[in-house]
Amino acid sequence: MRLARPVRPPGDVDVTSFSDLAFLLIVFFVLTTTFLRPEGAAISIPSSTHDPERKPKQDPTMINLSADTLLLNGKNITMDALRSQLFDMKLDQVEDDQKTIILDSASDVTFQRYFRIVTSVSRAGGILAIQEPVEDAEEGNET
Amino acid sequence: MKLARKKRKACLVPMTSFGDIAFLLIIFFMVASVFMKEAHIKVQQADSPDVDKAKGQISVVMDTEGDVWLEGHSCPIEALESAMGAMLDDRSDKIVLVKIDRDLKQEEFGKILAALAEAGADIVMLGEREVE
Repeated sequence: MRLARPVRPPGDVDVTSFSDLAFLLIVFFVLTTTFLRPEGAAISIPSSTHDPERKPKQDPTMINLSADTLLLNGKNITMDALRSQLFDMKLDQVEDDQKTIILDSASDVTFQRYFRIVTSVSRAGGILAIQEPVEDAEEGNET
Repeated sequence: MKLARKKRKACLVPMTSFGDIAFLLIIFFMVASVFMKEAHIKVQQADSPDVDKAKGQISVVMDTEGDVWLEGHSCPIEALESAMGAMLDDRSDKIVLVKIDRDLKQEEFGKILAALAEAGADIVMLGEREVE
């Protein structure tokens, strides 16, 4: 006995909702995307030099930083007071020679503390010079 | 005299290509997106009230363990100056974004700053804005 084949329905796939789906995906990504906007401070650090000609003519401002003390030109100062003093110096209006601020940091200072000083100097328009101990090649001593 | 109204044509907008356009847009954004190079590096950023928006391409990160990452790849600190010098040689802008963990000590991160300054980089230290 021969069986009659069942009639196949037409093979068209309904794609009408594909565009809705795609646009929903786009809207989802547009709304949930957060762009990475880094924030920071540009630090002007001159490279080291032993050229006596390039040394500043007058004594530069000196900041001594340790884990629990902060000195500006040898005097104890708070972080906020340092910040306002740097702004009062109007470093962005003086010659490059007078903009230099030497930062002598102890080895146990955390980056958080260091970052505050450095960004304050940068915002005030100063040029940061980092004081590093130099090893004496002949004697092997740190100076 | 009464004028006969014109018969309006059925207003059917062909929407077949909408799906194609939408999928093309998705593919474009997927291909053009740049994912974070440093997503795998653990760093707690320092904060300060004196930060602004920063721009730059090259990044150097020192993570919580004190390891140095140049452009998302591990880089020994001794090799940083020469690697950075080579990278900056053929660039017009010398901006380098530096991200350092807030709890690291100066004896660790000081070497990075010295190496970058010697390589001639314009250092931008990254941190979060602290509300005054």
